[in-house]
This record gives sequence, structure tokens and C-alpha cells, in this order.
Amino acid sequence: MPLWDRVGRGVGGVTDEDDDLVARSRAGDTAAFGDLVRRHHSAACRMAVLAGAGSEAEDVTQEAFVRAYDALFAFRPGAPFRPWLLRIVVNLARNQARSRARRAGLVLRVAAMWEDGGVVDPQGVAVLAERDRRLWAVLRSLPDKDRQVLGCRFLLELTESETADVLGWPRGSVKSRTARALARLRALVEPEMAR
Amino acid sequence: MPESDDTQLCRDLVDLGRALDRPAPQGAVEAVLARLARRERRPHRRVIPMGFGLAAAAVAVVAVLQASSHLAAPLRDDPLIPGTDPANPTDQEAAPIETQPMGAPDGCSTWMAMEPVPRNRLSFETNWTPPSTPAWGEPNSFYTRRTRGSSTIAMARYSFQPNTVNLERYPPNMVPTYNPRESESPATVDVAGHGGRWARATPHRAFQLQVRIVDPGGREVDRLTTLCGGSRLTWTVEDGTTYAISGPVPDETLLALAATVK
Repeated sequence: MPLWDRVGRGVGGVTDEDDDLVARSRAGDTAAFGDLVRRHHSAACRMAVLAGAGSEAEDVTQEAFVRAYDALFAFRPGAPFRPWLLRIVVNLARNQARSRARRAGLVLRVAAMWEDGGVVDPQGVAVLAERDRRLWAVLRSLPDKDRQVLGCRFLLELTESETADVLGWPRGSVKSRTARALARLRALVEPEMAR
Repeated sequence: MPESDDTQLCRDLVDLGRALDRPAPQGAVEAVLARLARRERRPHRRVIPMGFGLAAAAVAVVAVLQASSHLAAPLRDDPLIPGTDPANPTDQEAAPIETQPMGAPDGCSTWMAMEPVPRNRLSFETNWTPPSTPAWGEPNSFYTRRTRGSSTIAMARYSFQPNTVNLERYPPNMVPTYNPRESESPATVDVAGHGGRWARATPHRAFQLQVRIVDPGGREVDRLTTLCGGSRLTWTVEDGTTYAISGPVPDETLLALAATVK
């Protein structure tokens, strides 16, 4: 069995504390919702970057939390909160990326996303070890779907099932896309890391 | 390709993810909470042009007359409604859902089970152009969902600050059927000469709505579960296309908007 079949601790599975915070948020306790933001902001921001939000990842993340708050009544108690939130992030990021493309044109969009310093650094990428920074840069250069599936499965350590939920793909697609994306990433990483 | 290479790569990715995991900046948390607080102080209202408002009022009078003679049987006795997980709307135990007094939901959350698409792709896939008129304004986002049988459901969302109004479209070969259990006062109404049906949330309470999409032979081709705040109006036009409009704005506004959909 490939390692990637076993990866995914399913962060969404750690839900006891989230359950309590969600219940209190639904009752109007905004401080509890603030705690949910603290717990999941980092993952949401990474997901926004991976889903193509580029330099607007922080804005997308903030909007996602506001939408999530509005939609808490629709959240099923006991379900993992993080994948549910990340699905909203992905939808917003995809929308935002398309709007940006319409506004600026594809060429400008790509330039804005990938030029050095143009990509948001919400997680303090600048302070990463050199090897991690290179890996992050290569990961960002992958096609959208490859980047998203690897991001969900490994950077966010979601299970296949959670990844399927977040990205809105069939679970089988997650599995096959993961294998292909890993192969592409490996082909890019090996020469890059050998430098 | 030796598996060990991928194993190491996977581990590197996991390590990278953990290295990227940082506490949320306090400013980020405060920004979200400030937005929620600001919005809660803002009344929900919709300003519409006077002429349009008069038309809406006229249509509303007709609606009331129609509703008084065509009240539908309460739909709360329908079978259990699955809950909603926007990422995976599978069957779940339904329960009455209290919404917060603040933070009105933006109509029905059907979009969460759909794929965001550009406007031209929506038009290409569905041969439908969402309304873009002074009354509606410009749609700000578009969604589609391809069902078995290759038919495509479409949805466009419009900003009616501070709320959002949603317009869903089901093509003629589909018949959406609904099981609103939590809705109140479901009623029939005239929508520009077509039979329409309301489903309404009670104050501070959203309702769950299961949309079963069947082909003309009655075979289920898709199933969506959505949560709605405010009201939802559904109607079918001559060619069999069914529309649904929803949003936390006055019913008169929804009805007037619906009457302009072609």
C-alpha cells in the first residue's frame, strides 16, 4: 500500500472541542466563534492559497469565516468542522480566482499569482527552512488540481474522504489524482532539490 | 519508481504542512468578529425603484388573493428531511434548527453543493443567461451541477446589500420535488401566469429542503439538500423549466423579481 493511502490523520476527526465551539457559536456566542477562527485560520488560509486565491487569500479566508458563521445553522452537529469550512474556502477561492481572471485577463492573473512576492505569504513561508521553501515553491507551480489534492492530503493531512468533500470530487478521483500529482511533483522536485 | 521515493516526498509534504501551521494572527480573528458585529447592527432592507416597487405591490396583492384560495397542505408532515453537509449532502437525521437572531443566512445554500463556474460556462452548459436587468443587477457568482443524464442545474447569486438573492434553474427534463418540513405556510401563488409555491422560514429558524430531481419518467437523477433562511419561491414556466428564487428579502421583492424571469 502506498504511503499516501495511509496519510491523513483526518484533522477533521478531532471534533470534540469544535463541537462545543460550534454549538456555542450557533447560540450566538461570537467569542466561541472567535476560537473556531483561531483554531482553523491557518489551515483555511493555506487552503485558500492552494485553491488559487493568490494574494487575496487572507480576504478569502476572512470571507469564508463570515459565510461559515452565517451557515452554521446548516452544519450537522458531530460532523467534522474543518472539512466543512475548507469546502467554503475552496468555493470562494475558485470564484475569486475566476473573477480576477475576468478583471485582469489570464496573463495578468498568472503573473500576479506566481511572481516572486506576488503570492501571499500568510503562513510565514519566508521563515521556513530552505528545503521547505523550495518544496513549497515547486508545489505552487503544479496545475491547480494537483496542487489542491496534494495540499489537502499532505499539507492539511485530510483523509481521502475529507479531501473528496472539500474539493467536491469523487473519492476515486482523489486517489488517482494524488498518485499522478505525486509523480509530477517528484519529477519537478528532484532536479530542484539537487541544486 | 521506488515507493520509498514517494514515501519520503509524502513525509516532506507533511512536514511542510506542519511547518506552515501557525497560530492565527489576532488581527485576523478580530477582523472576522468585527465584520459580524458591524453586520448585526445593520437592518436588512432592500431599496427598489419606485415603479418596480409599485409593480411588486400589485403582484403581492394578487399573490395574497391566490394564496387565500389555494393554501397547500402543510408540508411539515413530509418524510424526514436529511440534514445538510455542504460538501456532501448525504442523508442525515433532521432536527429543527434554530438560527441566531443575528446573521441572516443568504437564502438557500444550494450553491454549496454545486460547482462555481464562470458565467460563459454556465451559459454554454445550460443555454441560459441569468437575468441582468436594473431590477436584478448583475449576478456576482455562478454555479452548476451536472446530474446523471447529463442535465445541468444552474444557479446565479445576486447581491442585494446586505443580503444575497439566489436564482436556481432546473431544465425542462427535470422535475424538482421538495420536502420542506420546517417551512411555514407553504402556499401557491401566481408568478406571471405560472403556478408558484412558497416555502418560508419562521423568524430565527431556517428550514431544510430536500430537492429530488427526477426525469419525466419519475426516475431520480439527483438529490440535493439545502438549508434556507427567508423564503423560497418555486415556479415552472411553459417550456417546463423550473426556477427557484430565495433570499432574506421581503416576499414581495422575491415575487416581483420572479415575475421578470424569462
